[in-house]
Amino acid sequence: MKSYMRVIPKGMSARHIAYLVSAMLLGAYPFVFREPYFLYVMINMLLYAFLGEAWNIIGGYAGQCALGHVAFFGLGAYTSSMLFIKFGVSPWLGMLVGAFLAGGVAVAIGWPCFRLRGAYFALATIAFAEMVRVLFNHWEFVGGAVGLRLPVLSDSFKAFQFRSYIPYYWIIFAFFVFSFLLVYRLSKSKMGFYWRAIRSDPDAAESLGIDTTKYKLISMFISSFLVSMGGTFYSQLVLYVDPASVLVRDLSVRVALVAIVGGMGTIEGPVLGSFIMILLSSLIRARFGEVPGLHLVIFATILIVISTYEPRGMMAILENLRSWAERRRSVAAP
Amino acid sequence: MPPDARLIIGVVLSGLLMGGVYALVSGGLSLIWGVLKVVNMAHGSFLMLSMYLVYWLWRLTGLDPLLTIPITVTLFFLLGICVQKGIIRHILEASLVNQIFVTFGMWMLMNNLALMLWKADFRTVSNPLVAGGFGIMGVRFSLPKLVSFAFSILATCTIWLFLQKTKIGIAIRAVAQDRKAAWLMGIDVNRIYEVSFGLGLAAVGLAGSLLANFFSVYPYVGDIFHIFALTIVTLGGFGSISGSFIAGLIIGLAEAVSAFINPALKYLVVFAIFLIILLLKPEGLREAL
Repeated sequence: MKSYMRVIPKGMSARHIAYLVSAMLLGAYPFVFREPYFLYVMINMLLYAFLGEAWNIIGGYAGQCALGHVAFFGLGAYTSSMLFIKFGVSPWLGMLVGAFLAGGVAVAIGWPCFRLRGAYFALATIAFAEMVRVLFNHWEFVGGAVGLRLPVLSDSFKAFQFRSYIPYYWIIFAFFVFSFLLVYRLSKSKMGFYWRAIRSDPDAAESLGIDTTKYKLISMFISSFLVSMGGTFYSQLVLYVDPASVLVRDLSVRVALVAIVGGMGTIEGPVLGSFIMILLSSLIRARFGEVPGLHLVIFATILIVISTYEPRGMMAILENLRSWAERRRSVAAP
Repeated sequence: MPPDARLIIGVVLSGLLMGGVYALVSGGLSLIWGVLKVVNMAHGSFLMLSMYLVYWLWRLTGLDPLLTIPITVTLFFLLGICVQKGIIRHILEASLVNQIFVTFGMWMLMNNLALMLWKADFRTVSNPLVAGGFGIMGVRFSLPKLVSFAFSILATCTIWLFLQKTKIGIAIRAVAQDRKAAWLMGIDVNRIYEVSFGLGLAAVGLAGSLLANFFSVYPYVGDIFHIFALTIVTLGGFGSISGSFIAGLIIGLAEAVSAFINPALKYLVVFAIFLIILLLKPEGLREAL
């Protein structure tokens, strides 16, 4: 045990090593799997992990059941695409504009909605997202129901367009690492503790002098900011934006459920949830071919079972398994 | 009457007729919400399932949608009891996020199951018993909508009377008010939950039989009804059957009139009403009634 300890720098736990190993595996992935299909699957996994981390901030840590995040995803996708098509603004800049716009809208919407308790908040966010979808569906300036097609250019970092999936992989990998570190820092910060206090008992938190509305708004801002970045990434990946793909309710639910299945309010949960979802859908596709909806049927079943019997998600199941194994070992050892 | 007035009266009546069906679907949602304190996000998907059941009964045995009413109502009542026993019972004490996501899981499960089994095709029952329309003083009525409205009113009144007059109905209202006190008074709360969920889905089963007469069936058909039902229940106050009835008519009217002015406005107006009611008066109309 002692010699093993010396190799690890001070202050590092087994958990940190697991992070580093995972990061190294993810970093090695594009060198091993170079086929577009494998890259695409992993890009999707990282995108969902990234979006799940973003939702985790408002849903998992601050405990607010926000179900309209697709609106921010759509805002990000539309803002950068519109700026690029109409004014030739680099999507990187468009991404920032979209993210601030989404954050601003989120705060504007969150301000009145945070007065609502429980299910009403969830319903208000759904109503908001549906309104945005219908609005974009009929707004001819942004392409209406047909949507926007981004001009296909040659490889260009400035235009956020690449022929190969590899640059996209690195970009979303960077996004994901950023969100992971951000959530890690936030969860250890004072604000992270405020959020958890608000989640477990808003009245008690308020009475202890925490400005609950302010901290909920901050978490809403960060969360929608990140989700909007994901929207821009997605639009640059598929080079096509329409309400049916970036503003549908399914997406709000999927973003939240990777976090819920994995484990809400944990840093690793969304990664685990997204990994399971993508693994499942690729395995099913490989085994049964293109059966529309099959992987979602299975994933929905997992969601129902987990939410019913282990609301804390896969992370809690792993934790239970670990402590069970430890108990067995400690019983066996002496 | 001038033709314009006829047209407008036609639009208003058509909206009210549709509102009756909305009221029926919402009544079920409202009952579940009021008694169990769980928002059923899968309510619209149950409606979709009921419509598919009606469609397949018609397709395979030639049974007219109207004649399927006893089948759908019974089956969906039993389905409600099963869902309550199998799933909802375990999440009554869970956190809100979990409750919502269990029912969202059911929504995803049913919609994708329908997509998997029956593809995204639109299916329509052709030549139902009630079809077409008729005119009174130049105002056109759709016969299936009128029949649906009549059945919806009948069913809503029956549920309302059941809740007001029968012993079980009074017990349901007692549980809705205070589940612990009701339990202490010797009411079998779990059974009340099962009956309430069963009734809520029976309403949806009936609505499926009615809607299949004039509405196409496809895997996502329930979603829009679900959003409408959520709006109506919020507007009417959850747990209030009379509230959702009136709110149903209001929303049906708002939809028809805004669609008449500009079809693009249709949903936008309903969602705007939803958001405004949520922000200004989340407890709904219930107290005003």
